[in-house]
Amino acid sequence: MTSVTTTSKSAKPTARLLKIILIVVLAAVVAIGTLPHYFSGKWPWAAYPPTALLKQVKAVRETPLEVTGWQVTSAQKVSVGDHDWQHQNMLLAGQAEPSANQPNQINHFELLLLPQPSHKDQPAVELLDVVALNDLKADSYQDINIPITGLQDQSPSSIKIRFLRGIGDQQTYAIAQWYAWPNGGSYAPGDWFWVDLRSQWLTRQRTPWLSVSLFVPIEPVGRVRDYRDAVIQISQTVQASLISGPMARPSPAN
Amino acid sequence: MQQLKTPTPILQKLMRYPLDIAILGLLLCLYGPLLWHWVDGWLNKSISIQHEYFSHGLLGIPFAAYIAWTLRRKWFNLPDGWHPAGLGLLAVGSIFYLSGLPDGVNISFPIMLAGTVLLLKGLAGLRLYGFPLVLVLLATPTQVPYLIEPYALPLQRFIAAVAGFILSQLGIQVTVDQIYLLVNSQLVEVAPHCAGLKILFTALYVGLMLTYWTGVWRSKLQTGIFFVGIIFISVSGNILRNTILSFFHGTYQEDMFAWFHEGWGGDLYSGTMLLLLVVWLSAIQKYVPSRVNLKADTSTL
Repeated sequence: MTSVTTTSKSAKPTARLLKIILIVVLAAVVAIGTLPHYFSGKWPWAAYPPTALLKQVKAVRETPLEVTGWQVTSAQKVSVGDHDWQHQNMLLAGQAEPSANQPNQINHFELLLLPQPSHKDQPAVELLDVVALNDLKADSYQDINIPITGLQDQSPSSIKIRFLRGIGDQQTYAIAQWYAWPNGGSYAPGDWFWVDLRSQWLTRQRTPWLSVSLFVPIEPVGRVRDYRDAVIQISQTVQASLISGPMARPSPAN
Repeated sequence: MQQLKTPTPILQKLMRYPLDIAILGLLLCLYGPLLWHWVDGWLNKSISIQHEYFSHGLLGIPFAAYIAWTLRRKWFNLPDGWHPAGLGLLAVGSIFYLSGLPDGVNISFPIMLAGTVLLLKGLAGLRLYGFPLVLVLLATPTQVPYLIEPYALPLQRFIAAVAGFILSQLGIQVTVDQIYLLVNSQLVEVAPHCAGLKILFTALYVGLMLTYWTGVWRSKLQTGIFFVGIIFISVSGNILRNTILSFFHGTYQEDMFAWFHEGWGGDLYSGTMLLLLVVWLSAIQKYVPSRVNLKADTSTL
């Protein structure tokens, strides 16, 4: 259809028809989407959809996370900036005492977890804060995509971690960080955003998130890339433990 | 003879356009409560930081409505026409509105308006009402600032560095680490919000309104220089703000810090900065020519 142009002032039939179509569509939208709420006084857009699993995820603040193949030797709350992180010292299962980490065998590390504080919060600078506010100079950044597979009744997913080295006065660490969510994870808040948007549209629920930071003590100013494979493995295990623990979707009752 | 009561002139005019009135009325029904919600959120800062980024809408949306109103004669004189994209926008806008999701409903407002314009007067209508539509679009609360924030890191670092430099020149003990300022072992973080992203967007938006209002938009040279100046004024203003905040926090003047950070002190500072924009624009109108004429001197060849 070509656009109808006219120099006369009288409304051509097409123009009037379009206006009527417009009125009908708008009236339909008003009838379906607005009128019911005028009466109840509650507007759907006044609040975001609820965040799935929020209670479970927030419980990580109180209960240490169990990680397969590792034992929690101590757990406490550590204040970093505005937030309290759950800090756990992890020791390889079966070992009695931590010993110096080697590239081919990491036997102890520190796990810091911060679940989203409330349903309104979005990932922002938590991962940056936990490194900088612990007086660590960060370098040797690497982004690594890690597949998470082989979990029973969980579809395969992946996490994109940021792998870096943090040099402190007393200790150098190989660090892995990401924001975890039920079906994946990434260190970039923007990635969570799109996953959350998708879950809002498809399931009417928001995607919960949890900041994860692994601190692996290594030799002073050590070469982080030697520890890369071992850290990848630990990251996979931690994510798997999260997905089957606090971020587990309740299975439908049979 | 008894004079029959005739409708007032305004009602008479309105009754000439029943369909248009119906369309406007329906749009008002759809978006009245939503716009009220936005205004309430801006005035009371009750929704979220993301929502705050768009508080310039308090000025911008009425201004856009005003522009549309002043152009109404030109609008009615436009030949009737339509563009198929209007149907698409109408469909997308309706779906987004019916989703009930805050982000969807918000963005459906400019989409529906644009669709309506395209369906009534086609591309010519869009061109006529382009600027008010842009004003509305840029005042519609979305999550765009959240997506931009990670990229503000270099700006945050720059601001922290310069603020730290200024403080050290004033003889104050300060250490700068990335985006953190350490003054007397008190830590100040130059967060994206504090990096002045919000005040930068507001300044650019107000600048946009000013260029239209004063007619300066007709000169690319003046407009260009104006916007470069806006960025400079906004960033410098924010460096100064962070310097002052770090000073207050470092000297343990917490009530002064709160006044300047969350209280009306901060609003006063932002208001002053926006007034500076008006001064800057007047200076440009006075001293910058509307165009630079470059003529090759061929007389000596």
